[in-house]
Amino acid sequence: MDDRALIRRIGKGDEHAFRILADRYRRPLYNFFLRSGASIEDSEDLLQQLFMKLVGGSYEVREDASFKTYIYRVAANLLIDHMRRSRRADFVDFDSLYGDGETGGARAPAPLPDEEAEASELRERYAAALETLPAPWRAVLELRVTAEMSYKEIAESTGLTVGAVESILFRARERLSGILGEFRAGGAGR
Amino acid sequence: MNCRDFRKLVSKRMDGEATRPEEETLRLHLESCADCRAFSESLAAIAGLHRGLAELEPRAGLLETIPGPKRFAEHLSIWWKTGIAAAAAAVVLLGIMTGGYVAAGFSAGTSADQAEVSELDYLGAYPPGSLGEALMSPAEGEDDV
Ligand SMILES: [Zn+2]
Repeated sequence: MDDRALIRRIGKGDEHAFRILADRYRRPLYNFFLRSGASIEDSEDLLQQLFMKLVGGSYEVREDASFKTYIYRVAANLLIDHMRRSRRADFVDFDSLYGDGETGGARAPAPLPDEEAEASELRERYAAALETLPAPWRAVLELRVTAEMSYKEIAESTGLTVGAVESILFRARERLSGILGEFRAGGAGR
Repeated sequence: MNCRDFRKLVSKRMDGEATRPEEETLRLHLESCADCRAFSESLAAIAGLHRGLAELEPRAGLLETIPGPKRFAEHLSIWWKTGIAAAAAAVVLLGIMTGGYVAAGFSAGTSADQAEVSELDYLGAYPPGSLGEALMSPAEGEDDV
């Protein structure tokens, strides 16, 4: 059943339809909040607020917009409000999002072959590099990459111009590329 | 067009937003420019790394506490019947649902971010509450709560 059909059913009080929709979107949206810089606790809170809005019926999906675009737009708005109210210190440590055997720290990861160790280091480096981006840039990147929104859709959901969206994505990638390039150049002695 | 312009096109093409002529111009440039080719490869690697980011599972039962559409309507009618105190709770809940809380303070970002932001050259008017506004308005003059 597609999202639009589910929404119609929810409008008619269909409990099951709501649960299906919630299952479909809870994980990507949760990770959208986390990667955009919200803490685990705040991401949970934002996710709950989002679904409260949904079940409260205060949604209206335009015929020409997909539900996915719509729900990420609501998520982006919640995130923006959250960013206004939060201090940066509250934002999640991105290292915890790339837990490579770091869960709890009780168990040391098995030694990896060189190549694998390097790949793992690169992934960690990438997660750290992401963290250096301003949170709104990360949000835009997530809207593009995770939500798979077009520039126009991102512009509509954020209030940015299409040109600004394009520019933010370029600058974000340029910076990530620079940071990873330095890492590779620095670590190439092996 | 200089190399940076072509790199912007690399990013744009990656998002499926480049026009046919832009793609063609870029293709020709990449044939002759090793640096931009390296940049293009670097962005492809970044896309791979991004896809490889771990996804966390939200806490089990997180959304179970949210009443579904039917129970939700029932809750509202119970509140309605049980008087002022409960009605006040419903008002608070509705306030949350409609996102109608007052955004207090504006402290998103370090001075480094703001430098980065003010560097952006497309300052314009953005709708109140939009990400554009959040990006373009440094915290100056706003008090934290
Ligand atoms: Zn070039």
